[in-house]
Amino acid sequence: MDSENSSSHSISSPQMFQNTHNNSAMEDNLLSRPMNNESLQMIIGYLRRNGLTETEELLTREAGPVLRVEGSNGLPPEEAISVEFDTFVQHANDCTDVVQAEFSQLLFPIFAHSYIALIEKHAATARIFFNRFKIFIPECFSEFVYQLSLIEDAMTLRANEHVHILRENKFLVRLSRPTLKHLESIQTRVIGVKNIIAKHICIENADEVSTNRTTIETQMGGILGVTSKSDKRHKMMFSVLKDELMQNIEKRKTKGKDWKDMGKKMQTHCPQADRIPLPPISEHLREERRNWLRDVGKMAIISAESPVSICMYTTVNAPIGVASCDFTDDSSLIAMGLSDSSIVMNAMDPMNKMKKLRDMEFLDKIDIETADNVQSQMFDLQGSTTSVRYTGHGGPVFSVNFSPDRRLLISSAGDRTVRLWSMETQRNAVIYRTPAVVWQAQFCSRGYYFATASADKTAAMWSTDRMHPLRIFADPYGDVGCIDYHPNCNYIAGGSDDRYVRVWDVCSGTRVRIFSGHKASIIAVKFSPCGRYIVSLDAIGNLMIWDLAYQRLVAAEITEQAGTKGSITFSRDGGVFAVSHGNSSIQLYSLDTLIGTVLAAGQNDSYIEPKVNLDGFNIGSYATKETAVIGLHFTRRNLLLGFGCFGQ
Amino acid sequence: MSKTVTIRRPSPTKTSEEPAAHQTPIFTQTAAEMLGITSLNTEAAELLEFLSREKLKEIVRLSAKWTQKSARRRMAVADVEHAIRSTRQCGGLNISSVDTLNLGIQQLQPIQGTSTGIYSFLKSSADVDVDKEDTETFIKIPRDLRVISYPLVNEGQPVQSEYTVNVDEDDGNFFEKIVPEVMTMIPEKNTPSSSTTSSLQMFRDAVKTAKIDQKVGLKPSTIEILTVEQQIFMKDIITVCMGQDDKKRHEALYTLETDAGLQVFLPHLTERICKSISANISQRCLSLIIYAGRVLRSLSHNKACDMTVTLHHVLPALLSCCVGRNMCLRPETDNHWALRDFSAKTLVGLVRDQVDKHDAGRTARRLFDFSHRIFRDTGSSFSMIYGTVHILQEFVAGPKKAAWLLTELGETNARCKSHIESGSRIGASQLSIQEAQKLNQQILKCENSIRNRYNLQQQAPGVPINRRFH
Repeated sequence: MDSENSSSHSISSPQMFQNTHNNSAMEDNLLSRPMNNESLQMIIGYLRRNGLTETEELLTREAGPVLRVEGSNGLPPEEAISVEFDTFVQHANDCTDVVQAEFSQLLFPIFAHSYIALIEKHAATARIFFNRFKIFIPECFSEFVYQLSLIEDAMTLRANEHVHILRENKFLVRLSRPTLKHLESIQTRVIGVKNIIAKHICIENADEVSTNRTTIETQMGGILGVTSKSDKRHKMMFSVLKDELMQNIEKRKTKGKDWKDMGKKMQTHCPQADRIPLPPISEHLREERRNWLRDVGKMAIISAESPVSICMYTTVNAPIGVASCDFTDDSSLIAMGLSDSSIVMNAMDPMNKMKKLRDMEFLDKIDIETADNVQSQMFDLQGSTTSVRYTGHGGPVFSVNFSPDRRLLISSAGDRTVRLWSMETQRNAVIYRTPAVVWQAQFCSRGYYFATASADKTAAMWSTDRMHPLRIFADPYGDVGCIDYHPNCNYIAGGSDDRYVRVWDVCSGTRVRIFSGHKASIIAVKFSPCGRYIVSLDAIGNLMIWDLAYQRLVAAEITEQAGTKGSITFSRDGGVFAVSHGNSSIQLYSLDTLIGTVLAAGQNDSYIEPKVNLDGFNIGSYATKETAVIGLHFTRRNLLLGFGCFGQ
Repeated sequence: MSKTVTIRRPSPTKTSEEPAAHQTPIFTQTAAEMLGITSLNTEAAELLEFLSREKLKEIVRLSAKWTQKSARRRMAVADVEHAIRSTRQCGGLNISSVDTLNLGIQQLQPIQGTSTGIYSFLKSSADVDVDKEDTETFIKIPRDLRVISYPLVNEGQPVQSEYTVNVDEDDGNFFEKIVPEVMTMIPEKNTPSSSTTSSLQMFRDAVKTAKIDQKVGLKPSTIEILTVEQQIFMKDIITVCMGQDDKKRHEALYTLETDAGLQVFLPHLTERICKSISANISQRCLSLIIYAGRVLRSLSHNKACDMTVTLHHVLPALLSCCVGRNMCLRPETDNHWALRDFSAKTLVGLVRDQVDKHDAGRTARRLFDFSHRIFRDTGSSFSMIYGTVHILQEFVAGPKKAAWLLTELGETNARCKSHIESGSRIGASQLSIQEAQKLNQQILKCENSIRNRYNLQQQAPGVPINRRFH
């Protein structure tokens, strides 16, 4: 954050320096000369700094002929744009803090489009332009600037994917009223910039005046700017129907406190039970819920006062490394997706081994009518082991996920397949071939449906009984790197390399929410168990919490941890979540504290300022020795399990 | 007049910031020249270089993505490989470092009855009854994936775990480093400027002021760790050698005698065998001592094994076998004599074959002295003396010493005889009489052998004809 601040604070161009150089020489005979362009500029700058806008406009109009010389008139077009951009940067620099921050949103798109335009005409000038002005671009766009730097001439321009995205879409910028006024005044002088803004940039009027620079900066970073207000017009049914189990958990958590009214309010946003067809809740799942219910009494409530306990699992001797892992809901099994293409399942409890279904021939012989212990006959109890290896994939296994009833495992790997494995026969059951690598596949909380995040810039929703996706969500501009299913099964969230978090409705197939603010590829997204919030993580260590109800940023935690594969997991009561960036540490954050702070600030639904690095939000940070943490899981009693591979 | 600031044309020094687009395509030209092609047009070379650079950038970018998605911090060969394959740019190079086609190899099972080793994923029916030994072949055992669990944090407090990693990794990076304590700085002393003191006095002063309890960092010794395969081999061979199955044991001993690759774990193997000898002597378990002795014997016969590195284990063990006071539960009936003979012979053979060449008979002399000490010791039992006789006989150096030894032997022999004769009168135990008889015979044999070797007559020195030691 600091560096970002300083970079945009110090907006000052080489031309400015030149001005100051000339100042001393000029001062002697300043009065004896007629007003030239430079001195006029200085006066205007002074007026602007002191907010004397009317005088400034007046002077601009009167001294028009002198000022005009600086404009594009006398110059070839490729140099004119440099001059104009320089003027624009200077202008932005002269503004007050907040306005300057709002202006900085405009810098990157203008810069990029100017550069693209110049490359087509004259590559050498474009290169000079690029090297001269790249330092003014806010740091969050540095990756895109780098992408542009790869362009060397018109030929490489055509191949650049990034340019296509910028050209085919409008960059969205939200400006408050005072900033808009500023912009209008300067546009009269910089025609080239004005054209670019008209052609490629969509300016939206911010309803409220931001008072804070960080508020604006936390929202920047998307490949196409901030998100539009119109994106939140869709009504979203984000709540989860509370069954007996959830109510018990809540009761245990809010012992003695009065939070009931809030729970009631949330219920109103529940989707209809038959909004999407869901499989009936199986006996197996009911049994699981009952077991869980039994553990609720022993569940520890984690907070800053009663900190967490963590048990760590470290793999050694993995040939190339472990790429992914998943725990079953009851914490009895762990699945590891290895980089050498196999999947290893380990039973956590050595006494509770994995049973394997007997061969078909043997099963045929069992007489279901008469035999009294069909269950035990079906399984080969002698052959049960604590560790099973599934082989079949032909590339690193990027994700593994258990179905809620623990009978299926879904995996996606570098061989462009998604595979379903039967846990009972311990075999591959289905192979879904996909056109591009699927980075993550995840079951929904009722089973049957699963969602995939793919390298072909789409997310998709599948069911286990069809070979083709039921829905394909194709609006991202970059790889969808991570995905999560909403607890009420009606929505999917995907985090993309284009730095947006999107939420899609699986019923209608529309995108109902989009969030901008991340400054790098998103490496993990997770819905909160209550269904209202999304937590997301990007590759340079920013953690953001989004409110689905109003499509807004609630809080951002800015850290310096460069990540590989993120993992986020919520405690069973939903009050706390644990995060790892794929390096050797685990952080814990209290969502309850955050919500409490937001509520205390006033129940103003329309607008709140995002909290940046809020005190008391981070309630613990724990380092491992040498193990990169790639998986996290809370047991039903809220013991945190971490998983990693040694020295990876 | 008005000043307008224009952007100047770039000066030549500024072009350093530009990418290497227009540099001479040195790499392409070198590559072409390596093929003997010199007619490459500069523009063509530039184009080639440009294209390959673009490709390289793309592959590096993709590989980095794969690395990230595999949750790894360092890029591995496999990532580059996958990236190249995903762009379908393998060309003629069929690269593959991970053998995905052979992944399920652990599940392969040999079809019984085929000694050549035909493998199948199907479980074979057990109809054909073939000896297991005939079908077993050596399969390379992959390292097992292992999950270690340990508490990291307890109620918010980080747990100081005893979990130390000692992973058998090829590059050895992952060994827990044992850092020696920080060495204390030795403070610089001000040497007294007065030149009146003598040098001796100065030295004494220096010694007085020098820090005596100074800490010296020592590099801890580390034991070379065996690979999993070697460990498994060692475990198997020890199990079989000390086991009940005679046929297998003979095979194993034969392996130990002939295998050329044993040197690596010789230290580990002999250490364990020698430990088992000492343990079994204290347990008086004769048969196991004999088994262990045979292992040492086989190893000493192995031409590819240099036993000199493990003498500190082997010699004490073998000597214990020779001169142990009591090594069996029933000394009357158990044949511990054979063990003593066998061990003495092994020892002599080992020292002759491997040691003497290097140390000019010093070890042999020390063994002689040691044996002689036992031999002369009045506390030694007859059976202990029995064990020394062969060693004395073999390691006696020179005819003069031999003559002297003969007199010693004669004295002992007389003592034996008197014990046998008087034993029945004074009521000495039957066992000790038996032992004395046995020793008597052994000494007689030994005397003959020495006389023959040095061509000595009774009490008469002669010319040595068969000197083996110097």
